[in-house]
Amino acid sequence: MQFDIIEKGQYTIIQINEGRFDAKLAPAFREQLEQIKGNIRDHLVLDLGEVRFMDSSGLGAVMGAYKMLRNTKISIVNPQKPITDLLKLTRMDKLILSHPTIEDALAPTA
Amino acid sequence: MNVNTRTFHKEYLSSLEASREVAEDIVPYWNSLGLNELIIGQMELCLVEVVNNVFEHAYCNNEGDKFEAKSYMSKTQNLIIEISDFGHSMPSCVLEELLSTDFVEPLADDPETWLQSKRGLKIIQELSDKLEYFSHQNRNTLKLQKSAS
Repeated sequence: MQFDIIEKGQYTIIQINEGRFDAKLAPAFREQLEQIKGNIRDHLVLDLGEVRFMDSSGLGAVMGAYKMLRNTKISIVNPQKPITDLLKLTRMDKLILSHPTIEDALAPTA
Repeated sequence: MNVNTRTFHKEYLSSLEASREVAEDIVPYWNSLGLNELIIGQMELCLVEVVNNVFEHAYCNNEGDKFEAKSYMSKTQNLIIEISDFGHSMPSCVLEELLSTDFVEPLADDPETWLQSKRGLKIIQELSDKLEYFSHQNRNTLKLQKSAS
């Protein structure tokens, strides 16, 4: 499974079970999101713990989710350093916050 | 890979997954040069962006067109990466515009700032020390340089 979908209270967690979130994976992510968008809850959490590499296509897919789910809060959790660096370089960290754990992302103050 | 001159040089066919193939081949070569993890990670990202641009723009998402990847260390300890294609060349204005722009900071209340164009090229420009592009007899080459010291 490339993705695991976990429903938890007011949250939907998408766990990316791939090492590379790139041009090859991005279309499958968009397709997955299209399939479940009607059921996504108030807060979408993207668990990128397995992702060691992300390129602009992966970033574009995440931004596509942000655009698609206008009234849904989106967070990234468990990012590895290359992902954190990419978000910072492209300034996407200003729009989509990252958290070290799912619990941190789900905390009321996050 | 040429072991004697320690130059990586290989031909590939364009596809959506070609960037993965090139990265899988070339990263072990960079490791063998003793480059540090940060430089390898940054250059892997640049390499993937260039190869994706070849597929998407030079070959208009067409699979099976030939391109070449070459990498070596210069005498001045710079890591060199050259990706050559034989498709549509990139207009010179693209790189010129790139130099004069910065990443747009996305703002929650301004959707126009969310999906930035040419983000891949901007990443390449930011992470490499030098970027050159030249076309000659239908061969287009993007050459990147990164200090290894």
